[in-house]
Amino acid sequence: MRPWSDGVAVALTLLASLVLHTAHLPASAPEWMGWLRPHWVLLAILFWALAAPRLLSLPLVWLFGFTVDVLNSDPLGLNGAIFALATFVITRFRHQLRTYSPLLQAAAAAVLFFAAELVGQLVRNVTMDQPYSPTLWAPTLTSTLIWLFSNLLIRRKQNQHLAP
Amino acid sequence: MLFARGRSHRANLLLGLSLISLIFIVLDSSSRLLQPVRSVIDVLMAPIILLAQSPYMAADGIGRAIVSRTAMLNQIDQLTQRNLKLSQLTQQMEALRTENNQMRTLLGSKPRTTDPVLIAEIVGVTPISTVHQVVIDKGAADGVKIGHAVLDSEGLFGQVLEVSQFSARVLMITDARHGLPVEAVRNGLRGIANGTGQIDRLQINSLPLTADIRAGDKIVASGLGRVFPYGYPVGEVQSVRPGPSYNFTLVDVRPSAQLDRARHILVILKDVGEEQP
Repeated sequence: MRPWSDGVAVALTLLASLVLHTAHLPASAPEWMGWLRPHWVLLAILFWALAAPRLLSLPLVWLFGFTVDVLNSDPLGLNGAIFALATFVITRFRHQLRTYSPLLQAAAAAVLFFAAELVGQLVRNVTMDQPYSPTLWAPTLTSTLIWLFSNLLIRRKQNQHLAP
Repeated sequence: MLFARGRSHRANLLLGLSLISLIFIVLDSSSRLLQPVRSVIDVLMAPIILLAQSPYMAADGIGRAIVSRTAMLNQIDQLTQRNLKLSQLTQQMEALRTENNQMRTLLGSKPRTTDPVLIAEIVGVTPISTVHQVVIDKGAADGVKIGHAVLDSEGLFGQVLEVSQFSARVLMITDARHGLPVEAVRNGLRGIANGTGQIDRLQINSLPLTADIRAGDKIVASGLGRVFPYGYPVGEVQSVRPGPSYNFTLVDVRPSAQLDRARHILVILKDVGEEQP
């Protein structure tokens, strides 16, 4: 694939993840389903960090975090820091991660999802007095499952982009 | 290891960005300095919010298009009856308001004025389930300001937290950050109803054990604190029980506003502290 079309693909995926992040269930859906909301944006970022690390620079990812901050009403900078940290870790260990089996890769991603959730809730608790959600693990579980299912796609993409 | 060969350029960059994030987080949670940045991004995010809301808008449109004639006639009948009842109540209220204002004048108090309202539609909700906020489709351009009280058809809904040009964010009364000065209708007992982070529960937790309050009592805004006008319904007492240390009573209140269902809400266009309670 040519670089500019890759750039467009990254932009479109990120925008789609923002829409999914903002979308909500109908009012008739039971409340527990709301707890299962996956980390759509982090999923998209981790996907591209592994598939095409050159396209995601840290400042870009950090700036992108601002949009999620505003949508979530989080303190500005929180999601940027989380995204930048996750991108750094993934790109730093991408060569090792690519040799892992899909299950092991998902386990590594799960650690990042859980860390992101934990940091987010911690900062929200300290700065906004938000109570901790009783189901801290739920978004991690759903995000990891989605990661596993989209793994095939990543693997195919990876073969096209054996980036240095 | 991560820093075995000295820090790389990327590691330095990450450290720098994290540091800026930390400064931003502290600034943003303790002051309103970054509010303009937030407003600009909020405007940019409007299409995203609209896109996310579009399935519901489409479903609404289709529902309207294919509704049957009989169903529509039924609805018109119901609305006409409701309208009749409401206009009778309004007439009664007009008389009562005049009488009340005359009495207030006799007592030397300022007469109460009617509050100007603006009808707004909820176009988005915050994706985090413990944060109870909604986005409405009216903003600074329509006269909405920070601190304006928001109602739905059943009772108090929340207050305006942030305003951008064409939209605003409303903090709901059940958000854990929200406190609302209230009083009981039966005896005027005052307290503060705090949000709990649960959509169907408020809690008053500063009343003494001997306070005269019981399940079924109606709770209204007391007007103290100068954000919410006096007298709007807040909810009904569900249960009264002693707190863990037996120093205070914990009163659970069920909000009367349809916090998770309302589509249209009313913004009361009155500035904070404009009228004495």
